[in-house]
Amino acid sequence: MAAYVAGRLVRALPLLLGISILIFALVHAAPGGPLTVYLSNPNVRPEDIERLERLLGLDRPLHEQYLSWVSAFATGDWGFSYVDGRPVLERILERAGGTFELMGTAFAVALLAAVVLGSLAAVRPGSACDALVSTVSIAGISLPTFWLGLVLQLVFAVELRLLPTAGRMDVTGEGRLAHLVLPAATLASFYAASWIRYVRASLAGTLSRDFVRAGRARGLSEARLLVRHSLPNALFPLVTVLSLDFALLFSGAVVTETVFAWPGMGSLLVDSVYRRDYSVLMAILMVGSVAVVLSNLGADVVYGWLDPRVRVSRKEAA
Amino acid sequence: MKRASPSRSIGEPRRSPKGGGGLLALAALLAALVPVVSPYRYDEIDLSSIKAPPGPSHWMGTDEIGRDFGTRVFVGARLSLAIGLAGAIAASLLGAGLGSAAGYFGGLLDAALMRLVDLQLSIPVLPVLIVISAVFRPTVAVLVLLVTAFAWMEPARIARGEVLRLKELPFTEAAKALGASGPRVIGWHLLPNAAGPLIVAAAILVGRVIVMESVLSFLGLGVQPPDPSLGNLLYGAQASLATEPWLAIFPGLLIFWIVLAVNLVGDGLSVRGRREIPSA
Repeated sequence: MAAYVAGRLVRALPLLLGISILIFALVHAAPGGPLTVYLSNPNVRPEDIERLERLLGLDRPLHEQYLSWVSAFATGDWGFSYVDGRPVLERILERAGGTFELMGTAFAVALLAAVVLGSLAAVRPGSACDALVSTVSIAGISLPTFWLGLVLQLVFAVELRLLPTAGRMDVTGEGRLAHLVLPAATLASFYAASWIRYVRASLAGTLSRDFVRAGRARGLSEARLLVRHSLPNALFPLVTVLSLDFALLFSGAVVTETVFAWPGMGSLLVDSVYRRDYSVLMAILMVGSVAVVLSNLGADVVYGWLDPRVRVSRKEAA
Repeated sequence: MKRASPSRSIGEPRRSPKGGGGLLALAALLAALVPVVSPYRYDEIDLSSIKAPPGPSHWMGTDEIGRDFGTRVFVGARLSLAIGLAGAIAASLLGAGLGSAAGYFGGLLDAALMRLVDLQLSIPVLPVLIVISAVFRPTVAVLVLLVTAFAWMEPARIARGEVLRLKELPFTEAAKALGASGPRVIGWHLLPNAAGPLIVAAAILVGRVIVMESVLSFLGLGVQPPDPSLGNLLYGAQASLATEPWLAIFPGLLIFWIVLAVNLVGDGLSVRGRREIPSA
């Protein structure tokens, strides 16, 4: 098992290097380069820019710059924000908690909703309930996340005044749960809607298998058959889907955080885009990509742990 | 690691693609006709009826400088539909070309292209698009190219998978025996047989591209005013949510309508085109 994990890790490294080259190239291809933020500032003279370029090493050949950036990044030295001069790592860490809270809640809510609704649909294939769930699912997939956020704000915050419009807490630091409801629901809706179909398809397949029929013949209750026997088998192929959707979930968090002024990495990204804060942008893109690679890796490992056949066949294929 | 599409199974309600097609045609028709038959031009300023709520003379109200919002919404829908179609077609063609070449020729080309697909799938697309659009301020045409560059991976995987399966079949061998070149075998014999799944993927891509465009424009980074798109009509709508909610409701409703329509089409087509995928 350890060898399997190590093997997967080694194969993820070239991927991460490729991504880092892409991100580096992107920022350096920008008109004005990394120092754009100073070019529009009338108080910064051209000779100051030159001095800064020398100071920051921007006059060195690109491959040298890349190597020093990537090695510094790997050791946790993420540089300083061009906007306020604070360490990038510090700025990202203070926002990471918000993103984890939002994504974690949305993930849990979406998974729960998908399992419940997917099961309702799978238990009676072709029933009215099945048709309703299927309609809900396709409508949910088609709802643009940011607009759903606006509509929820309009209904629950502006009209009904039940929940706060934006932010993560009141000025007093209270009300965190109330602030979480709308953004989490917004972010969760798309994933719940798309996972319903996987749960339904997988569970309907499992319910028609022999071991379920055998269980029924032995007199197990339908509830026990579903919860103890069918669901664990049906949900296990879902691990791959969930982990691959992680990249999308991060993208969704960017939009949701922006709509709800939620202090997370996504809204920091959008702020930094408007302010041309390239050091923060590069770091957030890297963090997001590393998280995606790690979650895919995690899925492979969990998959291999749950099902030894995968481990063996992949080792042979490698 | 390949993501299987949700296999259709046991008694799942089947939809015909006609409903979605009808919805889509209606949206396209309205987008084409409303700007023509409307008594207002989309950029006609009327300072005497600023921020009018929806009513008999302005069905979707007016915006902050008195322009008829309904006309603007459908002009925006026209642009969003065009971007969605262009992006989806371009991404499908690029993906089909690269994916089928990878599957047919194999070897180094296959390995390199598939690593590139893995790499691009590991990058959170939206944040990268946000950064690129902020940095390069793309025109509409460049925006389509950008979205294409980040949407070709799925068609590529589908085309590659289909070609790997089809190239072992006798008709491919026959074509090769008759002296057909690689590109001819791919273009004339393999891709037409792989069209079904590719068209389903393309239909779903239309919706995804429209959503990408609208998110970028919503953030002020996509289609730039004065050209209206469904996304940039929503830019600034959040600030006036309490006083002019119609400015936030109608453009989004139209995005939902169009995306739902293309998803229904894709869903309906996939029932016919999809072979049953064995469960794991």
